[in-house]
Amino acid sequence: MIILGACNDEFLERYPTDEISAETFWKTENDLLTYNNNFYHMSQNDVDIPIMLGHHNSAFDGLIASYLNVDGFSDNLAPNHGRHQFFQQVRAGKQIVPTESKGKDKQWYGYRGWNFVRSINIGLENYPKANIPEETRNKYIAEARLFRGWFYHHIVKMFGDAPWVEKELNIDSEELYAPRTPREEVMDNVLADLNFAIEWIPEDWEDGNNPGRLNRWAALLIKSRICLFEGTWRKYHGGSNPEMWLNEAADAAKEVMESGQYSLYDTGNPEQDYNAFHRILDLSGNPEVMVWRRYQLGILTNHIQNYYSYTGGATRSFVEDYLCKDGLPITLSDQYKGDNTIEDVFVNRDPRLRQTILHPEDSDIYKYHVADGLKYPRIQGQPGGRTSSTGYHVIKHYNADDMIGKAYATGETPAIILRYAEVLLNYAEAKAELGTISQGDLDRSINLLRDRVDMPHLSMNPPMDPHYANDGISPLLVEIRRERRIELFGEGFRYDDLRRWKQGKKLEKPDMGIQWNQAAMERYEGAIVQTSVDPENGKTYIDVYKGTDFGNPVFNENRDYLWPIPLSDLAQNPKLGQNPGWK
Amino acid sequence: MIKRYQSLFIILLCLLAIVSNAQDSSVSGTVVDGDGLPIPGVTIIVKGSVSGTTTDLDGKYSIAAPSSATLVFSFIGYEPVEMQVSNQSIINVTLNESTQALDEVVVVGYGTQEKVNLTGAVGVATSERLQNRPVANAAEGLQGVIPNLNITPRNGDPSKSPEFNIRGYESINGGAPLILVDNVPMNLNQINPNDIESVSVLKDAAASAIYGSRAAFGVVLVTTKKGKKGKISVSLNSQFSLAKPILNIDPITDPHEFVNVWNIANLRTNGVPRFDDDMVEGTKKWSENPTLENAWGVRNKELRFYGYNNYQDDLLTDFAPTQQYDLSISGGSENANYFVSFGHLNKDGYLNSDRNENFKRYNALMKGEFKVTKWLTLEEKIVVNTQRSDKPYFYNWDVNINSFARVSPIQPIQFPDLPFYIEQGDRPVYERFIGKYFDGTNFWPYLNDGGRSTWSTNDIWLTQGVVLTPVKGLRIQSNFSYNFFYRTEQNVASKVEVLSTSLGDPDGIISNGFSGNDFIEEKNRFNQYYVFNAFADYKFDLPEKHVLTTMVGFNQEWGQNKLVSAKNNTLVTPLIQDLKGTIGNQTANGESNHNALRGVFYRVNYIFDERYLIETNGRYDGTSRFPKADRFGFFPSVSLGWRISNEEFMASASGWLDELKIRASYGELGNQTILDNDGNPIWYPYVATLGIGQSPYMMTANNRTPYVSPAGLVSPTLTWETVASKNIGLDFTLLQGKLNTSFDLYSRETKDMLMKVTYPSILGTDAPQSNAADLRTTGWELAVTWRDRLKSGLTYDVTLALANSSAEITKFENPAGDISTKSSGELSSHYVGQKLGEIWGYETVGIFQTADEVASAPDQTALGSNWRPGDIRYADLNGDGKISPGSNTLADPGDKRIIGNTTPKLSFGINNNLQWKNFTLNMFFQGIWKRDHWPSSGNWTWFFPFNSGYAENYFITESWSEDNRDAYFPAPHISTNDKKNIQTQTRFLQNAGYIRLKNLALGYNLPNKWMDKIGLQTANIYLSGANLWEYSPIRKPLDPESIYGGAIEYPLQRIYTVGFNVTF
Repeated sequence: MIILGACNDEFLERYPTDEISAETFWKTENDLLTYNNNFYHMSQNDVDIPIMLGHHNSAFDGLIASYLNVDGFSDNLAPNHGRHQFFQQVRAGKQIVPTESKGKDKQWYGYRGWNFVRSINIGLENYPKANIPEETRNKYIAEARLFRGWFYHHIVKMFGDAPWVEKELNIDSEELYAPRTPREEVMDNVLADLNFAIEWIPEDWEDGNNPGRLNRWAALLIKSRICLFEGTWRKYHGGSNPEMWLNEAADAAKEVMESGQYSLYDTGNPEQDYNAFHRILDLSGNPEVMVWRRYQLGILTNHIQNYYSYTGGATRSFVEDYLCKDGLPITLSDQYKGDNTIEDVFVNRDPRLRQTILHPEDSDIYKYHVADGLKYPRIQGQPGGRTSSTGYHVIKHYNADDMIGKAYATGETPAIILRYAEVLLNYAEAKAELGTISQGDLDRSINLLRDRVDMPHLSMNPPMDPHYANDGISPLLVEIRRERRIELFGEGFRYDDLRRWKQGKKLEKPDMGIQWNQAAMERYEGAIVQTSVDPENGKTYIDVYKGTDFGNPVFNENRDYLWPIPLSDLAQNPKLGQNPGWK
Repeated sequence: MIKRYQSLFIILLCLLAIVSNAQDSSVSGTVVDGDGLPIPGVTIIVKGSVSGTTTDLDGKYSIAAPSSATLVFSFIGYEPVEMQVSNQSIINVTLNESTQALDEVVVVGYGTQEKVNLTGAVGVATSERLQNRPVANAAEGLQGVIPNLNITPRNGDPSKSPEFNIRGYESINGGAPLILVDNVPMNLNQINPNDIESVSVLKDAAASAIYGSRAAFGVVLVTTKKGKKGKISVSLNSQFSLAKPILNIDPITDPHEFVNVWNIANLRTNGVPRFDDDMVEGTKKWSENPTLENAWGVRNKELRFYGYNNYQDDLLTDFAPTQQYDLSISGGSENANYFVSFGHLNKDGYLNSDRNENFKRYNALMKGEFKVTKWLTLEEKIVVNTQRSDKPYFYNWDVNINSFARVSPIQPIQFPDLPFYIEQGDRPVYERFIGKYFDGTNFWPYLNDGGRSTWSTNDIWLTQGVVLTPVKGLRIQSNFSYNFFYRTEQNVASKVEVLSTSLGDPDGIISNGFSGNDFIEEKNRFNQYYVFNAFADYKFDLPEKHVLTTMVGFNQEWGQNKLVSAKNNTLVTPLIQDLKGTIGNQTANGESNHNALRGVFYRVNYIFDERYLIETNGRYDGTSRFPKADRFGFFPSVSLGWRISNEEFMASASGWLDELKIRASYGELGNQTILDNDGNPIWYPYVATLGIGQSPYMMTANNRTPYVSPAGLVSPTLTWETVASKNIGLDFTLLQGKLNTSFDLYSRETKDMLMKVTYPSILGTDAPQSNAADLRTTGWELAVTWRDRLKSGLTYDVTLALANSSAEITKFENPAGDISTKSSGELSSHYVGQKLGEIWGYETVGIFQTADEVASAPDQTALGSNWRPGDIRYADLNGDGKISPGSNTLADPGDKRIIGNTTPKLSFGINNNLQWKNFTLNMFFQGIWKRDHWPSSGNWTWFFPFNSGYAENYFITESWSEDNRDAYFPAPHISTNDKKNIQTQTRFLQNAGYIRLKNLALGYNLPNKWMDKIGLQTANIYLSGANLWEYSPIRKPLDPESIYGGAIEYPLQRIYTVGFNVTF
């Protein structure tokens, strides 16, 4: 039957039957398109590749990896859930150098995701094999480079210098053991990636755009965000040519603004328009939402509404930043009613406050905590319902309809990845930092946001808010930054913004909550809180972390602007070098 | 082909009808020993048949036999005696004590060998070890029987196979022994333990080189029973067992105590109590007066439970039944013999529900041998193994069998029947919920109303064999086996309704808990495999004193695996459990692969004057798993033996020394198996392919996005790991076979191990595997048997199996000396000089007693913040004034050091058999002398207080407080996120050594005089118990044998069995 000796024949030649070989791929446009789909697939992993940050779908990581939580690193939110300890550590300046980027001591939003870079680089090396027109090919190169630039920005943002790689590495590649590429060189490369993307990526992929692929407008917004970050970083931390970056940021934003492709979501209802589109399940056709992620039962779901309370609550610092109806800060306006009760806080304020923080009278409207009929706010320690750490329950993205009657991990709350409001804010800030801003610029950026909520326009010479008088910036810039904090609250910007503005000292102020007077103690019976007296006004407020591991926050100016590289990465390549102060 | 087997089947059935009609006459007599004392229990069989009997207490027997027959008298420890009947009606026999064990024939690779002539290291177990024990699979029965055949039960789940290992740590890539049943690779879990005739474990290269590239880590040869010449023998065995889980937990049952202790822990952790004053008061009230009224309350429209639910007791039965039935029929004539057996095992899980888990096994084995001519014999075999498992669908860790260890006493289970809820008169609103189950960690609703996960496997083997004996001394054998393996799996995740305790909105009380995303998933696996063997042995006709046998052979194997799966969302109704009955999103998937092996092998064995033994084995092997140039390897071995006891100079010792032999062997073996990170085989490790998938990232509604992902890195020059094995052995038998000892010392060098070097993460993918690492395993094993018979008629034997091994990395690329550890303290990489199993951790100084001590101690902020009295104080080993992992390298390990090793030190099995009159007693102990174990500090695992939802009494008594400063554990602290006090460290390292009574069996053979009357040959009844007793220094609630899974799964169980066995 079988002849002995004829051993090395076809019988032992066995090749895979369910995967593609590299030789037969990379031929057609469809091959390139399908390959590039992998970038979307990968970046849906919000833990490893937190650039298109959505609401991560897995059971445990899902309660951390969402843009709703990222403000927990900053003075906007005071998370008090044990599972958000990493936010508390960073917020308090008590980050522990992680032993490894993954695993038990996970560094969220950290030094990881290099498989994404590899995947992109392999694509870039192989696209030339396809026998297709140059401009067709360039669409896919552009898309890949957009992702690469975006990802490297994330790494630079968190770690400064970064190992720049633009080809597939193998185990004998020198790059593996090279020192990190200096920040400015990496960013030059990032800019080149972004510029190529903007030149070649289609304005419309004709894929229905619902949400479809990243298009040129998205690329421009990403560019404006990245360039604004880099420009302001260099301006405040030192670095060459911040003006160039700020100009690039302004120009990119301007191009989106002038395209007329997008506009703010505005139905003429200033009391609802700001948060309405953050609280619906289908964003199709929304004029403001440029990129979003779909969730749908049976395909991809999240549980973010049920984890909503893990963010703790908004801080007094944040709530006090809202202007009064007259366009003045609470420090200057005579409309401000103070904060003796939580209701007082909302009186005569920017309507966005009441669309961001739960007003006690709005519990029914928002069906707060599955319409349990309890009185809100509820403070930690109080029985029943959903409690907050500060008294300021966040409702900006709260959608009871995605929770009531819904089972574990079946939520379909979409993730807004990029929205047009940011374009306007980036534009105004870049122009203001450059010193080239005009009233016209304000009117077509900040003042559009103000119009939506029926707030007075910002003018070129606002009065200086005494609260920010010592920041060393102009009153106009104070107001533009304020606008950004207010508008983009809960969307993951604040911590990065403070770092690029070199305002880390703002994180040395403990996170406070509502005023804790006798009336409050009676009203919130059962609450268990720590309090401190504000030396400025002599009143007592909830002091969220007092007496805990994360009381007395510190911010080490010489260390905390950049994160530590995990020990395992340093052990494998000591030339990476640890960031300053993290020894 | 199918047709051929059909006819075979008919032939086999016909054979059953053949009954010997020869005229028998009655023979009786007495059997005595050399001292003239009667020997009870001597087996007497009619030679060439299975007809037989045993002597009674007075050594008397009676048997029906034809006058032409020969009777064979045999008894353990005695020389067998054959007597011609020749018309005698009384035959008295004297048996002499013997060295009978020496004549044992042992199954070796492609053949058999007399035990005295073995030169390799081979361990043997016979069917007796597996009989009359409530083992769900053969592996359980073999645990501890053969030294260095290490069998680790995963847990008590009968549907999970235990792990096999021979002689310790294999390779950093894992690896397992090759398990062959009648020369074909089979899953030992599938077959019926009662069909096993013998098990040989080939431990060294000399014994296993004939299996070449798959034998690197030893071979287990299982031989099934076959028919013997003689009248039809029918044997029926039935047993019934009750299993009780070994649960070492001591939960807090007073809800008030529970609430208080959690509040203490929570307050220390984040300043906020877990339970409010109302819960504290409510539970107190209930504790003092446990009435229904006090058990429930409503506060802020939220229903509250202040009472105690004995969830564990309600969920688990005390005893889970198992039934086992085996029927075998065997017999034969001069020219044909047959063996047919049917087995059935039915084992329930221990859920206290009519929707309990269930596992079933059905086995059929049919074997026939037909001597067609003098030189031609045909062998036929059909094996059908079927298993079925039926369990509740696994919705989530919170709501499955594991929940029994995670549920707190105050978890509300069922909606109560109260006079009113929020206010007087509202009972009608809530009446409809009474008796329904709550959400949260509560298995009941999912168990009672949820879907099931079922799977069944059908493993069918058809074998055709031919044996040719054309000339004297030459025997040519060939067999072809074809395997069909089907596995069908269905997971039904249907919707379940659970209740919230928030009564505010009566319409919103019901939700679907973990079952919101309902679906049906079907997976069908169809594997085919064939094995072709052809081998010939020849015994040369040489002058006396010379024995030369040779063997050459060829083996070819081929396999193809295919999987089709589909998952459809949204059931129309939970009643229709078919893909057809779904209306939601649909996904289908497939997988396929194929592989092949081919090899030629030889054996030459020469014996001079029964004194000098030499044997060489070898195999030239090829596999489809490696690139063409590196596909083949040659694996030779040589072994020598010297039977010193047969030397003339030893003649003077013959009075007490029966046998003394030393053995030595050297050989090289290969390992073709490469596993991925999940332990699945990589079939084409040298071929780079792009992955294909369907991403849940939606670019448009309802549609997954197809994508192609890049190929990983592969090494084009991949080849075998080779294993060089050295063995020295010593066998001796003393005192007329009373003491039998075998000792082996070995080393095993695993060379060119495929390793994944840990490269900097910027590489962006797993490093390709390359043949670049070495390790050395060294160890020894000892088997000692003492058997004797006392004047009183008591016969007994004691077998001790002892083994030890350790392994060290001798080559590995880890230039940075990276010693990053996993949460188990195990390294994520290796380094040269590493003793495998090392646990890296901190040294514990103790528990901080005062604030001053904290202030003056080295800075521990690298491990956590806010250190206070009651927290753990670590030792500053490197004296730098702070506690840290340094840079996690060998050069700078910070304050970490090696604190232990998970390798078992000295594993043992002690087997005792006693026989007195008609009674038999077996006691089998198995254990490990010492083994370090770091208890999982992960969430929801046992051991560290407050890592899970429940609480045990020791959380209170053994946690630090001002009044309990000598406590074992630090002050109560929720460590689910902050592990600062439970870093891997010396203080909590456990010794997982143990000794466990694996089997205790008492049997009674019904007297022969009763048997004769009812026409039975033998009958016995037995009682047995498995895992009845254990001792271990490990702290409760850990069990030393089920600590390795991490999460709490099925505990092991104590099993009580009653059974009977009849042969007629």
